[in-house]
Amino acid sequence: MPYNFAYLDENSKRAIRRSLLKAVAIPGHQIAFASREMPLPYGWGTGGIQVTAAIIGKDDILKVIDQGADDTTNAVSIRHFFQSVAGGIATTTDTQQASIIQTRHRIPETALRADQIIVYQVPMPEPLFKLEPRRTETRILHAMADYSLMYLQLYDHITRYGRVAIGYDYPVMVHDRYLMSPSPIPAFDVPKMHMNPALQLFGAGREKRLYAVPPYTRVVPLAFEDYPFTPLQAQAPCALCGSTSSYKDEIILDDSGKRQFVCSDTDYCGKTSCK
Amino acid sequence: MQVNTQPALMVRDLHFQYGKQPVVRNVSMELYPGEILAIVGESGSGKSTLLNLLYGSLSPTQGAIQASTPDLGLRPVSALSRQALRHLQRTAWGFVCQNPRDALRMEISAGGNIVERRMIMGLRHYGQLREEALYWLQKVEIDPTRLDDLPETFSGGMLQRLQIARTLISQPALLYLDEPTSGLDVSVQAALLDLLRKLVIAENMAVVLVTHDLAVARLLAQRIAVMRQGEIIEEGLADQVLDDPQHPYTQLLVSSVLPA
Repeated sequence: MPYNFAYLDENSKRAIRRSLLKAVAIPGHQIAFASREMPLPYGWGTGGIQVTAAIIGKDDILKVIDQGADDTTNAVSIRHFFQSVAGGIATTTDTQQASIIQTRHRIPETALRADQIIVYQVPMPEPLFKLEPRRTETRILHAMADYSLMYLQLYDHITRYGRVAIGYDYPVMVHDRYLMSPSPIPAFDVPKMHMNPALQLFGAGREKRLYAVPPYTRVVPLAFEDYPFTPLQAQAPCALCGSTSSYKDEIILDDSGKRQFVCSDTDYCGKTSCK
Repeated sequence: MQVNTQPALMVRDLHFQYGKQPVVRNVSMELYPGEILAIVGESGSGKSTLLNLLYGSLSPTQGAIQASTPDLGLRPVSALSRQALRHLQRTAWGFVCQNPRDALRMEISAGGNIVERRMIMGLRHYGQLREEALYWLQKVEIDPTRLDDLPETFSGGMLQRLQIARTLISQPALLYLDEPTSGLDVSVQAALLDLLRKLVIAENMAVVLVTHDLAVARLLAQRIAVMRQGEIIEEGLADQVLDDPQHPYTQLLVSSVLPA
């Protein structure tokens, strides 16, 4: 028996879309939803897949990236999954062609447009979970917009390491109200979220939470006045395309520790080197 | 001193019970800025419960508490929103508890612990936060080189001083002290009491001090209220209550103190 279009039945997709509407209405606020069993393990993108399944239509063009690349296991298998359960919908690796981009760990280097939706796979939606393990307590902190705990963490980082040593999943304030985990994207990508014309949706399958950043919403990383937000960036240009502005992966080439930096966004890198 | 000033705390006919067990009965009191009121009594007499009621952590079964707020003067505590109450508790009011480990964040450095309230108040400048942390660390007489150490490495007396610095940094108008010096050795106790007295006088705070130690009450407080079985059975100037107790229970309490 064939699967329903995009694997989930229509009522499940509708329930997820209703939660997504709520999430869009309250930018950065985590909305509980009935996360479904998906045919892949938690931690591999069950939240992202459910969001994509709920919003994808027959005319959509899907791109899936994993750590910036279109050709890694997670990206390839999720793309194949939707090809097989969503009746031969079009997929692409080209950021500009895609109407829906499901991503893990990166935001594409190519700027997104207002007619695109980016879906993030989120392992841990609660930005305060390392500081306050009780979910009941973090809900109160969010309700009261009391984020001094996170500033305390920044204070301790500067005291211990001389800088805010958060390389990924950097805490951000959304629409001046909710503290949000941007999912484990590098701090380098956080400024791309700010005032982005595309709709940004976040799905956490295991934790059963959805949240969203609507188009053109303020997303501001936490910082002190005298210690502004300064994401780390590789000092070398890309060894393949020569880009100096993109986010790089550090690749170790041999046993003697020789290394090179290459763009983590494979689509961007390929296009830049062709020119 | 009390002329022309509004009280910092007004309590009328306060009752509280846990289930059917009455714990606080018919308590009324007034407290003015700059005044220290000691509440003494045996364990189980309702002292700590009363303090938690005043601080807003418990809601009274009957009666009214009005407490000072920075913007609106005296406000009924029961009428405050949870958000407003929490903000007051963490800025304009202070609570120093018996065990500093309950109040401190043991995994955050001493400096971070001290400045938490300043961050709640909206200070976002690391350099200034650090300066204030150092200032208060020295004010409570802890070696400034310990600024970045974890509270774990501090002694009991130092932890209690750290808790006091962390609470007083927001210059609370109302301060509640729940047995702040019990469990400390005598010399540390004396230094701590001396320090508390200096700070309280300098900041003109209104203080409610709960203690079972009459010597502590005599040293710090201008007024003493004696509690027994949830009721205030005797109240007056500190020396008056301790030197000329009227109620039989107060007489027993005063005469039970071992001579040094």
